Amino acid sequence: MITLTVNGKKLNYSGDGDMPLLWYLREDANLQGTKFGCGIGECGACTVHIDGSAVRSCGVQMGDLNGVSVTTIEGLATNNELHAVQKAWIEEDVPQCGYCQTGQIMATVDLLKNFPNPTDEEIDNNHTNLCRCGTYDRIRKAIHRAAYLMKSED
Amino acid sequence: MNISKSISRRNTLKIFVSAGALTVCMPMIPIFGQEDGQAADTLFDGKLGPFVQINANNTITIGAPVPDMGTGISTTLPMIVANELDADWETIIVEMIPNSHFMDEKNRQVLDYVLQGTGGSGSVTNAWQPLRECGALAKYLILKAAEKDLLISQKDMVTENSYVIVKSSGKKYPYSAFADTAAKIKVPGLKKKTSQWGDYLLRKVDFSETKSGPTIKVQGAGNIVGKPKGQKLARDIVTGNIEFGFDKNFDNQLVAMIERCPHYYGKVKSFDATAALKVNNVVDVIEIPHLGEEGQLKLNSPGVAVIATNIWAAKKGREALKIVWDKGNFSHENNAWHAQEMRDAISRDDVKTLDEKGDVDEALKTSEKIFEREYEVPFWEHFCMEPLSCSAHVMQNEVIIKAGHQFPETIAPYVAKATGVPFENIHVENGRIGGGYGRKATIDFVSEPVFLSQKTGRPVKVYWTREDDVRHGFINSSALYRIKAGVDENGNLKAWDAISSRKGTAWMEGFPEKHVPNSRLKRAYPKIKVPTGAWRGPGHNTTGFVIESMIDEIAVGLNKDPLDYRLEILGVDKEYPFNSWTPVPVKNKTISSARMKGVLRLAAEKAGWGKKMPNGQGRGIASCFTFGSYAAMVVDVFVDDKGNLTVLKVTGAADCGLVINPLGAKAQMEGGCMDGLSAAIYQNIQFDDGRITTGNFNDIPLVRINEAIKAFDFHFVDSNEIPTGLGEIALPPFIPALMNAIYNATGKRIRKFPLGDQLKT
Repeated sequence: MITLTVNGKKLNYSGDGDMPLLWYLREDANLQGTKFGCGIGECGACTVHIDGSAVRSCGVQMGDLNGVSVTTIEGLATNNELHAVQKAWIEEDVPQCGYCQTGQIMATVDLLKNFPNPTDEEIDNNHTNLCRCGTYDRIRKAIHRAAYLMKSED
Repeated sequence: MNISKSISRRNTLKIFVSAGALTVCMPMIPIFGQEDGQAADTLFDGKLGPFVQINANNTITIGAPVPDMGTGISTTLPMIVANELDADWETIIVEMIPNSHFMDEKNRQVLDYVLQGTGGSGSVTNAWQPLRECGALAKYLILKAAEKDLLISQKDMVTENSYVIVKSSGKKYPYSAFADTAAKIKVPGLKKKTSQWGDYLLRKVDFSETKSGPTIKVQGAGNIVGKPKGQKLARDIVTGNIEFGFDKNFDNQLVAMIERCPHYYGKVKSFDATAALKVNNVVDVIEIPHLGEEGQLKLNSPGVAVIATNIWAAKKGREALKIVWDKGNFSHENNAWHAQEMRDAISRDDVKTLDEKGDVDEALKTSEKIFEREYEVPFWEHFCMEPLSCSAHVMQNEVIIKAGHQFPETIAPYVAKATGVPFENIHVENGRIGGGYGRKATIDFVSEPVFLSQKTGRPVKVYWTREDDVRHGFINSSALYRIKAGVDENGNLKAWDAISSRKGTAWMEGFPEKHVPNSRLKRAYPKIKVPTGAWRGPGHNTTGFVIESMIDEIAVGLNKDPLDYRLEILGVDKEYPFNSWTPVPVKNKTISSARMKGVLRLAAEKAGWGKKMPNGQGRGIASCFTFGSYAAMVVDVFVDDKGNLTVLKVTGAADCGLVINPLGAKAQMEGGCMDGLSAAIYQNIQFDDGRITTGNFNDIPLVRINEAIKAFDFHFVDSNEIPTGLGEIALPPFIPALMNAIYNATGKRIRKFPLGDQLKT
């Protein structure tokens, strides 16, 4: 039996230990904001946080997750107040199809923990999620805007 | 309660699907009489026309009829309605409305109000007029109601931000104050009318026979159209609350993964499901044959489906299958064979001349200088971020389909035929589309769950993996193009002889063909069988590269400025006819050389064309006409001494008529350029043994943020022409402008894609 916390809620899991977290979140926990894009950790559409760090959930097995705390896009806003990164995404009108954007946002939240005021080069070297619509220019602007918003919120 | 049990065709029409929630609105009546003087609440059951609902708190809900695959259409179309309605955009609520169509008495499919499919950059053009009319109708009814309730003449009223303002008194009344009265106002002559619209029958709201009925704003007027607006559904997207096709489920559904025959047009010879059936939670293994009609090469890829209660079990079960494939007749095909076949086809006698004028052979003989070049492009995949998925529940007399499909109106006719269930009992719940690019326009991914639900009697959801998606698509054809051009002693183009060798048509007409006195367009027919289909800017996506690279080569060869040379060829302002496909039925289709010159000049001016570039940098220009719109790009690049490419800036201009939402329009331009960059430098689908061997993003990288274009500067020609599309117009000129820039920086002319390591050798 695996016990883990998802968006603050304690949950139990007793199925296949080798099932990726991604499918647990989507099928068992009914949290479909986390997306499947490649299944091999290349695209980042399935990015969530495990104990506060960004992880591609298609490559993490349920058997290894006893006691961890998972945050998904559904758990990012607090009391209906959007996270600064989500706000920045809306303000820069980033999404096109929108499919990869929840993963982009989760990756950015973690990026800004390590680089609260990232340079373009730091973004280039550390933000590796794929966007097939090519919204990168707006993603970059939104990352900078989010950094600014987070400082003003402090 | 099981939704599939309770839903009926008529009820489908009243369900607005939005943000994952089902909101039941006032029902619409699908068919009704056409006698004069009906009120909106009879015609549209309480709503002020098919797309407008005024809510009690004076917010206005506007239905968005066309699926959004990243085009921003779910914001653009409601803007058109809201503009006509003088609504307060900030309080507008956008809801996606389901597919609405019916069979008429002659058993012909009639679509309601607008074309709900999305492709060919046609959504705005197609919906523009009907949506203006629907907005105008709603405003007309509100003003009539205000007159009635307030006993004041309309002449003393203005409408603004969802309020009626009485000029003489200055009093303000919310639209909602008149909503009930408005819904009951009878409008003599108001009716719905069915007429032919291109290939479709379309039933529109018609008030052409009303006396002093609704009037539409002069094109370009209003406070919403033409102003930059963020996407209405952005909050749902960034919170993960929007449902894509991949997220659509049935309660109690089974999940299927299909091992499809990897060889195109091959099939299952035999299979052993023993091990698969032993996997925990696998419930069944079912062979899927080719579901197409006799003689149809491919509707779907035949294979073996593993049915389970969850996706992980289905995947494991699939891996445990043992299948022997019948490879079919095309296992001789691979990349080298394709390349040779395209070459061989050019010299075969089935080459067809598509268009010819003057005497090309003679003109080439007497030319001062001849340029002969060859360009080659490999197969390109769609790589939609959202892999395919579709769920179906086939019941005895009812079918429910859930997907993210570009042309939802094509689903019911197929399903009716496949299942025998009457058309009116087939309900399609279409989700947001996680990238389409033409891939989600076909019926293959719908046919499989329909078949499996018929077999199991349960709702079935079919998931595609990334590899499934890449290996079983309908992809962009590879192509070989050869152009021979002759110029006179002054450098004027006098002969243009172009041939394409590829599967499917590639239009090379228009520029410069129509401007050269002696020109000929030919097409060769390589016997390549790879399943091909629409891919962002079909045909134009590679002919743009070829034609605009060739023009650049000639200009450089003649020591002429590439911009000046293009303007010279375009010459005096004129309109000339063209034959290639357009998204809207148009009589006398023409291309305007003036509009083409307009975008070239605008892009050049904004980029500061002609300035000297620093060392290692280069600049290129190109322009194209695609599906009714014109675009020109100036691309600046830097190539370091190791051959590493950086795209510094794209300065672009587009003439797409009236721009509805400049913010969304720019997004389409940005996306088109990024897509073009990925395609040109990386896309190179690999084949062997008559099958695609490329599988996932580790086989073909796509551009990420570190390689992305560093800056954009887009401008739109100030135009009051009918709005035309933008989704596909940036890519065709971007790719050649990029290649011309690379030449300008390095002296290396790229004639074969992908760019790959060509700058590094």
